Amino acid sequence: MDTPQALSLDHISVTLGHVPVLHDISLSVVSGEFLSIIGPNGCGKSTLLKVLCHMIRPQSGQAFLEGRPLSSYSRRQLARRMAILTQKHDIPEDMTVYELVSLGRFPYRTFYRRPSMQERDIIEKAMADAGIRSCRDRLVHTLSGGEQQRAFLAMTLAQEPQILLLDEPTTYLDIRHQLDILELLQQLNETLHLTIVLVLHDMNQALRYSRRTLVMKEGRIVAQGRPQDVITPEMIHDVFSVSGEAAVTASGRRVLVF
Amino acid sequence: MGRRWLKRLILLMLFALLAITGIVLSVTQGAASLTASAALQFLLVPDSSTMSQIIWNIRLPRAVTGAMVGMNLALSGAILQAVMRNPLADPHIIGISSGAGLTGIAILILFPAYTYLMPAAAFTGAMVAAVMIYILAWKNGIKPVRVILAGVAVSAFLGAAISSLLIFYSDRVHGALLWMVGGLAARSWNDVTLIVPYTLTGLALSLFGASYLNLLQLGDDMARGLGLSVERARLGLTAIAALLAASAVSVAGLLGFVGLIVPHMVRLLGGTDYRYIIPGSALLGMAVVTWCDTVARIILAPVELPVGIIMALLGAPFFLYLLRRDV
Repeated sequence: MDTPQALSLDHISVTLGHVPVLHDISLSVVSGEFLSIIGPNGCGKSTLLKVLCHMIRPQSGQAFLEGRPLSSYSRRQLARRMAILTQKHDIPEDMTVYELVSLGRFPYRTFYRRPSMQERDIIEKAMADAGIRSCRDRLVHTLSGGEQQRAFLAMTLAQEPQILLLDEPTTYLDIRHQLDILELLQQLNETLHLTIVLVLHDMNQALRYSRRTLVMKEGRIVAQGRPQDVITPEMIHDVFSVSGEAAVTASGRRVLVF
Repeated sequence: MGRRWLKRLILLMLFALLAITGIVLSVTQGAASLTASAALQFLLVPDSSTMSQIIWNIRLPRAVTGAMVGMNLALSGAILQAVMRNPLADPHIIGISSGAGLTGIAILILFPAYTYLMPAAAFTGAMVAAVMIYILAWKNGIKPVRVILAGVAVSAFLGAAISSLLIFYSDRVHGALLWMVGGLAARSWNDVTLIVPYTLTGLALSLFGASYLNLLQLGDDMARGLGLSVERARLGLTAIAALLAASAVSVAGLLGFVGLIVPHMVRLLGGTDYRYIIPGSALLGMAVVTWCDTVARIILAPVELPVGIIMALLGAPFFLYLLRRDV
């Protein structure tokens, strides 16, 4: 067993209000992998992500982190192991990038005085890794969408997690910044061996960047595997009810055309 | 430490200066006024003269009570604004004060022999009101609008109960009425000792809670993701806010607007970081109440106005200004 399980879900079902959202989901996330989740709006992708980070407790089934039930960890312990980048952020208008990123150190805060030099180094490194260091003293609100996303990413990196969960990190960004963020994630995945689970909308991006893809429809996982095996015109037709064609570009990449 | 923190430090020193001058004015000014140095002499070397008696037994306890009440209400408001994620939250609007008010008035009117139980009763009332509002507003998380609506509803409900008490026992109403307007008249060392423990505990806990408040401002999901146990933090911080509000209400009655305007003033001047807002609100709260109380005492001297009236006169327009500005 040289591929340890980072996260796993065992027959999870979730009902929000009276609406069943996830049905009997089992899944395991291997340490160091780059997993994308795709599916139509309302299929339960975001809910699945929230179950993985223990923000939603499933009505039945169990979730595990490194083999231990998720519920046996404190929030603090969880925040040291995994970080989540949600879709909506609501932060004070006068918060600087540095202040935002330093929030990522909250789970390590102790009662006694911390070795502040070391803390500062970690914050600086997180900003450098996310490529936002040049904006460290600017207000987050004055940054462009792409820069803001990098600032929030730096905050999650300051948590020094092993697992990073992202809910549609490329939404609202232009194509250049979308690709920037994905390249950055790929790089973090390779250099820091960060396990990455992200919800994506763009199937071509899932094809290009992720090493495993999970397709969801109406609260169930309908397909999973290597993106090039999973993301096919047939799947697109079944899940999204649109017809697409697979094509190969001049450089040999597989893409979908709608 | 950047320029922002330098500015904040200067602001904090300014608030501290205002608080100190407020207390000094409160001790020196009045029907019989005297210079600061004379007052200082009476303070250091008390004698049996009337002026010394006035200073030691009337003005000083009043100034100290006023300072603590101001601090507690401002801290309570500052905490609630972050916990409820609502800029309009304060112990009054949220109904905590009317909770404390109802139990306080019930003690005053129904069990006057047990007046010494006021802080405990007021605290219980405040806490029950806070928990009631929290439960009413909770539905898959806290939504700011729901909190305000639940707070207004609970306030109205408790207000009706207070009015009924006042009507059914109209013969005993006088003391209760004065208490409801909010005032610092005739506060003694008893009042000081009554709220000192609550004040010190509340202040220490608020300072400790600053970084939690910073996280709560970001919304539930982000705070959870960063390792904060949101429900537990909310409950604990609400309890601290209720403790602070209740101790203030128990000695100064239903004093309006300090809890709302002071944290906003502090925020408008120096920003949203709670490591600054908490000490800032504590100091500016002390300043506002001691200054307003001095004004209330001398503006129509020898007739004395309840400080609540001055505060509401100044507070209401500021509240409207905020409402127009950016809420």
